[in-house]
Amino acid sequence: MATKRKNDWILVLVFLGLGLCALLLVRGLQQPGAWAVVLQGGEETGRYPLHRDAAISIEGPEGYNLLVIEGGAAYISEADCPNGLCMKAGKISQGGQSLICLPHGLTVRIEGPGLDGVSG
Amino acid sequence: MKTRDVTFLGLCVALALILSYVESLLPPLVPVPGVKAGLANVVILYVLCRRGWKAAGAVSLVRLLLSAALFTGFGPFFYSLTGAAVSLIGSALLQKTGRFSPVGVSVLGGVLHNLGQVALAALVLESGYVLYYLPVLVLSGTLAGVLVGLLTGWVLRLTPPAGRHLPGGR
Repeated sequence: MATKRKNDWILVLVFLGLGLCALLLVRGLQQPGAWAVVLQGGEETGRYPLHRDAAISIEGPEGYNLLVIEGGAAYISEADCPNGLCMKAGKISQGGQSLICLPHGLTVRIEGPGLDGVSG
Repeated sequence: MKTRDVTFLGLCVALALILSYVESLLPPLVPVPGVKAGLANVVILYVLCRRGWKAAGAVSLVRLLLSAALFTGFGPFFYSLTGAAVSLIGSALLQKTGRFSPVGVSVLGGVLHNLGQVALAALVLESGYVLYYLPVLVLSGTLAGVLVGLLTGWVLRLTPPAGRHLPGGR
């Protein structure tokens, strides 16, 4: 029993360690983004500059989401999905961060300043 | 399969189903898809410890089918199924080594469950960006696993193996 308990602890600490390291790695790689890229079912269907405030209604076969860009950050302010997790996910602004609405197959992700970051 | 076993496993399905339903009524702790305690897994892990992986797999599969038909629809079903399958295989193997208590078994199960789901999401959404969620899902899977494991260990200690607590039972 005592060795089992010890093995449990080792397993828990290994996973917590791995998770924290991965978290720091991901955070370290992040930079402020320039674009909010909308993907529906894996296909890019829109790309909006983060520096310009906008409200974009995204219609899909499964339902709609309202994407708002405000002060360099993007968030979902309205959606007709059952759980509304995409709205509760809050604002994103760093490259690589994303808002996901699984029921609608929708992803909004932030991409870093690309070569065409100067336009618009 | 004896009537007794059918009844027992049927009750387990019902219990798992109601636990996941009750959990779905609670507000999510963290606004990330896939982060939750997974209370229904207390039942699955209990069955795994008492009846082996086949019984646990059967309870898990029937529960997911019913849950999809009754509550969630078949969209999330494949995510749940992938997570459950990967999780059960890992947990069953770890349990077979005999070196871990339900907590350890459940932690591996929780982490694998989330890894399976995020891998499927990466494939379905064709977006490697989903993998940014990996760290959060590993951490949440570990914590959920600890919670489920502790609860299961507690239930296992409170209930003697089937058949011994009833006079005349087999």
